[in-house]
Amino acid sequence: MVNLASASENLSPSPAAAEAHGLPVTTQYFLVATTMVGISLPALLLHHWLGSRAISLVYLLTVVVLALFVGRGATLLAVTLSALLWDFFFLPPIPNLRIASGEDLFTFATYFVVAGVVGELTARIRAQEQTERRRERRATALYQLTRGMVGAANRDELVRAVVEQTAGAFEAEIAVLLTDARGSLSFHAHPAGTYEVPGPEQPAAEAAFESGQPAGRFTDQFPQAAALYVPLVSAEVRHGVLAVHLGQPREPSPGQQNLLQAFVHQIALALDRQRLREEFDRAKSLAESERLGRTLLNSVSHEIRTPLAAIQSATANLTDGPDRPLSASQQAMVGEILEATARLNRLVGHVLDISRLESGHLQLRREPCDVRDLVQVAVRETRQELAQHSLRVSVPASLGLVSLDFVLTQQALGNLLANAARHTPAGTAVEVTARREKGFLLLSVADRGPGLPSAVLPRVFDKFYRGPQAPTGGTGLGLSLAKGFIEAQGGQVQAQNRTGGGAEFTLRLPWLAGDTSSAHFPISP
Amino acid sequence: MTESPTKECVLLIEDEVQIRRLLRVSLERVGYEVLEAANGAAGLDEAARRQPQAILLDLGLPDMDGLIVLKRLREWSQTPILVVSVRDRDDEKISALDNGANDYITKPFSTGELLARLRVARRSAQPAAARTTYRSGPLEVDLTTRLVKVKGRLARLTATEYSLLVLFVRHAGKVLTHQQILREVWGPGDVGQIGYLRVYMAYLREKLEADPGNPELFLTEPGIGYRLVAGD
Repeated sequence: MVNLASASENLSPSPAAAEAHGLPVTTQYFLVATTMVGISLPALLLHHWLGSRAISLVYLLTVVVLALFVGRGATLLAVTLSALLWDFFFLPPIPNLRIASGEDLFTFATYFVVAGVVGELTARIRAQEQTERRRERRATALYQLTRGMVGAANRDELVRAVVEQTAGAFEAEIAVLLTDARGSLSFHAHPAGTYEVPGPEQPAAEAAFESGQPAGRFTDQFPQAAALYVPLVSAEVRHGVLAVHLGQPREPSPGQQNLLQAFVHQIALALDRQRLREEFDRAKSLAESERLGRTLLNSVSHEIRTPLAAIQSATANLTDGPDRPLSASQQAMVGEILEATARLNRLVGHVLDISRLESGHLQLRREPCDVRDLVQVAVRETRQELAQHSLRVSVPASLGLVSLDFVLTQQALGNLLANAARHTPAGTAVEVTARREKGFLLLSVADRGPGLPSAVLPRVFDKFYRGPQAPTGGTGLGLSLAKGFIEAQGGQVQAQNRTGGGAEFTLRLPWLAGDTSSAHFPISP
Repeated sequence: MTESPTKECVLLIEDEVQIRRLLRVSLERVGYEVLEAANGAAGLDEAARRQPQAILLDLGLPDMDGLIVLKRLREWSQTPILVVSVRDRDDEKISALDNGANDYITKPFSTGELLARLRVARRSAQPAAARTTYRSGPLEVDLTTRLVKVKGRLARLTATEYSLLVLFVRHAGKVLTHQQILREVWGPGDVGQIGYLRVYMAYLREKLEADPGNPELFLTEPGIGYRLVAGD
């Protein structure tokens, strides 16, 4: 009694208590037999003073006391044995099992019934009490486990709590094998474990993991293994295997098995929760870094462009103000300021675009686009740069709609045009062509300039790369941005020299049909 | 209740004092009276108190997002609002336009362009009934008689092309986002069908532009929408 009471007060249930249905069965029977024989000796001495009726009460008392400690079977033995001993030694004729008088026979029968009923009732109360106690121990053990796991801040702490609680509840050595990054079982047990899984037992662990059923000792799969391997499986994921190396040689009782099942269930749920929390944290920090990147881009663009706007606006006010007209040289200075401002602004734009591209903050907006419109916008946006060149645009009207990011593609083409304008002499021709060829949209810009030296050709799309004869004024980013914008859409860029002189840059984009409806609408009416 | 200003009055809602000073010079030079507000709250307050004829709004304000200022203004005011911002992302332009901004101009901008956009916005604030005719370059449109002429010759438009044209004429000079056009012409169900819009814009240009390959009336605003240039 003391031992059990202390077990339930002690928050961590001892494994001995977990197994305490009381004493082992043989011990119970032995105890009953010796007690009954033992109580009979003093009873024989007292027989002359007490009489046989009082002795029967002594036996009854002994049965009740024994029933508090032993199981049903042993109680029945106590009842039968006490009745026989009483009959043999105390009911005349003595010593004999026969009963002489009808009155004694009646007393004997009554004793047997009373002792039987009292013994049975006591045993029942005791059994109930034991069930309650088992239930309480089970609840306490589970509570301990859950409390340990909830307090864990990460997976390592979680596993540590699992090992500690499981080892305590089952008086066993524990190992926890978890899955690796690829989702297969890792045989490097978690370092918090107290049991070292021997090499030859790995197949048992593997079998438990693969089949989702317990394997190893006391099971049908690999029963020769030293430890029991229980899979940690939730509705969603296989987390790994719990290895339980029990200290006891006996098969776990149904109660233990039940408790182990509950443990494994809770552990798998906790691992699920942990995994979700880790995923959530990862997603949150990713979103946070995206937000930071965006804020940074916005503030850089704000901090640089605001003073640029002030310079540009102030300079413009100088020229078209009502003040005295500027002298020719002042006018020229104002022109220089405006040109430098425009160049700086272009550079800011290009640097922001590059950082958007490289940080992965560029969002593609694929939608059905009219290629003719796209080319025309790119040409319009580079009107100023191309003012000194003769431009030829050739886009077949029958091209139809193609799905791509209008803005990025148009900017890429515009950068090629600006590049051509900057690197070829005034008055030469620049040709823009769009065509569809074998599942690709080809947009090309060809010039009649000096062409690309063979040393430049492989590096022409590199960031900040400038050819040896490159005129000033460019940012060194235009072509690499064009490359980035096109590759982001699954396309390619090419540069080559033309036969007959000049360079040709080509954007090659996979032709994705713009729209199901586009088939019904030829682009020219 | 409010003193009625003799000159047309423009409110600047902008936190950068330097930009405010420069815009004031440019605007006063062409005859506007200029009011200033350094943050969103002051801007809303000033707009309600002084009833300006136009508002220039910066999106990056210290106390609240410029888009929220825009939404609050649009709850009660139809005053033309020009968004002036350093933010050049298309989605920000689109959300400004969809939330009722009349136009969007990115810093740094030329003063001439700003003033031109402001004029267009001011004109579009006049009652719609007043604008039943449109004329620019070779194109003449009369909404009362439903006649469309190019270089004096009658152009034949389908019903969809005509309703698209009417929308542009009503908002001549103003950028219309893809979504706005799709909602107005095709209805809310077809808002995702940008392909229709691309095709019909090509048809309209083919029929109404002098050189469809190099349009001068129906301009594409990349990533945002289209604009019909302001009429003569």
